[in-house]
Amino acid sequence: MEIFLRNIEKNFNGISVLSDLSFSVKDGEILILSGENGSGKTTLLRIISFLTIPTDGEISYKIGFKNFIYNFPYRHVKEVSSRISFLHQKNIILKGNIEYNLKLGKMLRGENSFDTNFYNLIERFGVSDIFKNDIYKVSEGQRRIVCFLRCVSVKWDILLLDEPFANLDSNYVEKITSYLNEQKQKGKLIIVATPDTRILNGLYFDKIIKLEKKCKN
Amino acid sequence: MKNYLNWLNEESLEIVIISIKVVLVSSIISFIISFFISFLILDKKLKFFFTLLQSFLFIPSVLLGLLIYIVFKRNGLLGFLNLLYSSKIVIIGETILIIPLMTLFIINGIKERFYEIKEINKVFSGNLWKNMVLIINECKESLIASFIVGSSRVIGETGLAMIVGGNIKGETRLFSTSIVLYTMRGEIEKGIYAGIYLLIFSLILNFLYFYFSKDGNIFKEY
Repeated sequence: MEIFLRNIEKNFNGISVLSDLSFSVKDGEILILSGENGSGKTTLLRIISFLTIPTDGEISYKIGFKNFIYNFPYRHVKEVSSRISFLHQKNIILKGNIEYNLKLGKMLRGENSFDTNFYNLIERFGVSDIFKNDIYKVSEGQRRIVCFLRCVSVKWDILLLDEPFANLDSNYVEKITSYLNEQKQKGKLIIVATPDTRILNGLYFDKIIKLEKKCKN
Repeated sequence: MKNYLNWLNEESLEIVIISIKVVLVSSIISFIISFFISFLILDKKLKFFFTLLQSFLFIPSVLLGLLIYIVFKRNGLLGFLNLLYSSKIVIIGETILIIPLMTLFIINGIKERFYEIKEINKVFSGNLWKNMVLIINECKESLIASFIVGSSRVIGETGLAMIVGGNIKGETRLFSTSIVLYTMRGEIEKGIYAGIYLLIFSLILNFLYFYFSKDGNIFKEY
């Protein structure tokens, strides 16, 4: 699996957020997107996950011997998008308990089997104790972990994480870091966007791209 | 009290049953249509259509009644259906009347969560039906409130029901139209009794609306 971005540009109402951005990343790699707030990290992740359409440029995904090239407008994205999992910057939670929120990702994907891997993952992050708690009655950090677990519990080859460590204590940061390192060893492709690279101690990342803010305040 | 109970005869029972039937059926049909319209407006960001719908919010019910009458009268466009002066045409009319109102309330109730849910659904490659189920599950209080608002509008509506229904005993006589009839006949006492029932129904619906809607949820927890 490999992602190629060529001359990606994105403007919002005439204001340039990303311009002439090209890079590639392949499986078994962890790519870090850093840069100050408003530099386009989230936009770039959203473009890779088909949630936002770039103003210009081309993205291609090489899966095995197949090459999927996407120009605007996107068509037939399902084959690639079903291999991507994306963690939003904001914790998007739905009414109900933690169990419902955790299972939601798999249910939407149509992966209705909740096997031991799923429960082991939850056990590993210490969420099984609060499994039946109302999602609105746990801390913001615990919600972050729930969103992270929902994101990684589905089948994925490309993992896009937008500020995964926000609101988390050092214990959870360590757990996520070690999980990501393991997945890298398994040959998965991971892209992490974070404004603060100091938190990445212990993460075996391969590349770091520093995005510049185009429009200064 | 005795007189009040006297009104509870066969005739009044018919009025109660027909009123409930018209309110329920028109509200259910309108709710289903309005939900899909709301979904479409928010999903496709149809600003023009949304504004157009808002303009139809306060369309006078007598005018709508007149238009429906013209379409369904014997030599009208749909006159062959022979629906005029039946409870079916009253239900059709009330359904059309409350669609803009219900749609706007549904949009107002779901708009805050709509795009987040759509985003989650898209990320996990969920289909359209799953998206709808999630929205219903997440915004059920607002949806119930929208349903009640529509029902409240129907239960107190007179002009349209009079024109297309004709206030026929046992067929299209509702709470509101019966009050008009009793007043015109000079049977003020009967009119008041019917009014009391109408008021009770309206109060129950309003209570339920505020109980389920965000307007009634003024309490916050930190």
